[in-house]
Amino acid sequence: MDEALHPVKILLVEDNPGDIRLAQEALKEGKLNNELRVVMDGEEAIAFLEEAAQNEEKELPDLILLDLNLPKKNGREVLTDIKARAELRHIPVVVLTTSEDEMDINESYKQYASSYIVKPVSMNKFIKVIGGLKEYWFTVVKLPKN
Amino acid sequence: MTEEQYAYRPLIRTILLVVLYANLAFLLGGSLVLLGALPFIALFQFGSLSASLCFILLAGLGLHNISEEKVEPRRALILAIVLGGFVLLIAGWTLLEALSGSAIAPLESLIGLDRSASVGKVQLEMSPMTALALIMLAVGFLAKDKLARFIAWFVGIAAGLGMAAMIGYFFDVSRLYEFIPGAYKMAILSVLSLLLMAFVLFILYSPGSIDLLFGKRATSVFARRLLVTVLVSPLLSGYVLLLGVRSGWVTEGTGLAFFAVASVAINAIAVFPATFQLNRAEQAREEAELQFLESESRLQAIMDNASAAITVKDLDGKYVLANRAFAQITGLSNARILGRTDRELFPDEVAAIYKEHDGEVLNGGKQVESEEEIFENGDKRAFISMRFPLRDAEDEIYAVCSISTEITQRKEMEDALKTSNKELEQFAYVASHDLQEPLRMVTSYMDLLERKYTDLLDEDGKEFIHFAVDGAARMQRLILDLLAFSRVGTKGKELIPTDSNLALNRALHNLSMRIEETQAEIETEDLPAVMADEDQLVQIFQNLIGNGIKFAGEETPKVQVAVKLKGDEAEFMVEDNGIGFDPQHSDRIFVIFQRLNNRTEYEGTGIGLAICKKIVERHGGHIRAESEPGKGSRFFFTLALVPEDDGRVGVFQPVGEAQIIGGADSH
Repeated sequence: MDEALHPVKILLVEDNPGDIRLAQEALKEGKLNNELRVVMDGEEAIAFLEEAAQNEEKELPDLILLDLNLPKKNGREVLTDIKARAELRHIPVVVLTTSEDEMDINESYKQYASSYIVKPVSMNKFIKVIGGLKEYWFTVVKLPKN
Repeated sequence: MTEEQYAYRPLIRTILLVVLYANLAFLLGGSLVLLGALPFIALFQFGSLSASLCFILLAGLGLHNISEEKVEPRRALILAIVLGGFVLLIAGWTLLEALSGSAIAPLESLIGLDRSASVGKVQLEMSPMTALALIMLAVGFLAKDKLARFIAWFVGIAAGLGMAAMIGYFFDVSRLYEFIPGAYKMAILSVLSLLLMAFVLFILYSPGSIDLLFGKRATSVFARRLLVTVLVSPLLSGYVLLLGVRSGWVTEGTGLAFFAVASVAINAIAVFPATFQLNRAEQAREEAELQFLESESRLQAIMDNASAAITVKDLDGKYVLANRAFAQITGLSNARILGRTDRELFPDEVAAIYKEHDGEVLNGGKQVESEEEIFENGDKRAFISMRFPLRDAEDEIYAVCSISTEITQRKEMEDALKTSNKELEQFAYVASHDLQEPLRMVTSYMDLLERKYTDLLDEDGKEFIHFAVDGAARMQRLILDLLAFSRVGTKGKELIPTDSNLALNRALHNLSMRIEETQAEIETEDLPAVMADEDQLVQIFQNLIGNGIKFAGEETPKVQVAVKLKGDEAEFMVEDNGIGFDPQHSDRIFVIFQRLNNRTEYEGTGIGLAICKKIVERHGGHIRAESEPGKGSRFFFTLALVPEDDGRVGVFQPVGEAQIIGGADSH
């Protein structure tokens, strides 16, 4: 299994502290080293990404986990924004949200989300999902260089 | 010509042709005799040449009038004036000559003939009486309607006098014809021609004359019979009598007595039975009129007490009839609307809508149902209108009738229901989301707790956590089920013709994993097309068959799906061989969240059957269950079949062979 040479950077856009903590716990498990950045609303997310793009050190994340229900700008608008900007649109965005609504799913894919995951209720399942995510995106899949 | 006259055209034509040819023959024959070409035949007193000429012209004019070919009115008028004028000239000249006492030159001199040449051979000149009658006839054929009718009578009388003379000839009673001054006698041919022409005039210009003479009604029969008896029988009996008296068999006195008796008898026999018939006919008519009045007043009572607005408009869109309800709803009284059109009474947009719907009825010839919304003083009023054509005895449309019921309140309630449903749906959606999030927190952190601190927890601790997690999980399922239950109504779609087989197959597909796991055997048969929301029908099948599999107990699940047709409904049955239940609970099981089993034995919230019941009832059907503990269960539900005249789908499928799918035999 290929190991990344540097820790992978994940940006989590999520407003619920409880969910944030869960994600952190889930990400701790498993082999892969990762750096997790968290922003808690949509506007902050865009601001952070813009800055990272202009920054010489290129601190853009390798993967964005995006919740749809966010204060100020909601997740759908963030998604549209990211995919509209040339310097950001290459980053895979995985929508990680509670909504099972068909319209939300369809719209997300239409706005170029890479995949859509519904947050499972049980922690064990959530850990499995996050583990699977990590494995898929960072060992199976080849990512673009930032 | 009227339709009646048209039907008798051939008869009129025949009569005119008879007159034409008879007079033509006489004219030709007479001319030939005059010119010496034919041997002498005593045609004297049979007719007169000039009269014959006139009759020919008039007959010709008459034939032209009734001809079918389309002639320009101008040409027809010119022809009429020429022919008629000619007749008037000849007859007028003759009459003037007679009245002025031969002061004017006789007719013959006009064509260079000497009277002496014709004496004893054939008469050139007509009698003044004939001349007068011919003038009347000519005017009659030139004039129209009322004048012609009057003239016909006049000509008839003149002809009648001539008839008297003729009878005199026939009976050889010189008195009869001698009372007419010689100069005024009419020749036989002239008399007959006159009578026939007068008859033609009578038919053409006397409305109802044809119906009277040729009709089937009791009065027509009577008229015909009367005509015969009155004209013929006295002549006949008179003639017999004359012969008797002349040959000396009876004296004049006896003869006259016999004549009187004979006349009375014949007339009585002819007339009395007919009068009884007439009386009966009249009675029937009176009765019919009473019934008609009764029917009218009944109709009026129904119309005025109806709560729906009923109107009748003619082909021009003018109101012919409106009931009380219409006046109340629109505020327009009968006086204001009768004879007026919608354009005049209502605002343009409203009138346009009405006109469109009326047009549909007139063009299609069928009834049209429509919903109309009109705005009145800022209020919206809704009506459901049924329009249909009214047809007369010949099946032609002559009016449009409209029956409108106000459904404003109903519409308002419907709108309110729609808004309420929408709000409910939004509420349900939001509630379920917002309710689930805390649950997720509880469950997830319980799990985390277990994972991270499992070493620190004793058995009790672990058990407490399990109960908490279990509780949260059940809560979540309950929320999802409640959401599904509420969506039966709010997300329900219109009922359309649906193939039940498709729905069944979808349900089986959804259950395919469970069917395979349990090796369940599902037996089905061909199902009919029903009026349903397909997604919901899938839910019913899925729930019932799923239950059949779930509650199978120790046995391999066997579920059978069947259908029975009952009138316009289909009764579906889902039968399983599972654990069954006590029949006294057969109503309870459909109640929301009611369970008959211990939670630990069989999972489920107890909402499946409640959802089925709600769906079935939404479709207008019923659901029930039969069972014995340990002997399996049968669930029955009914749905409406697709009605036959619905062209949209669904030839109904006849019950066919059973198919077995699932289990080891699946293919």
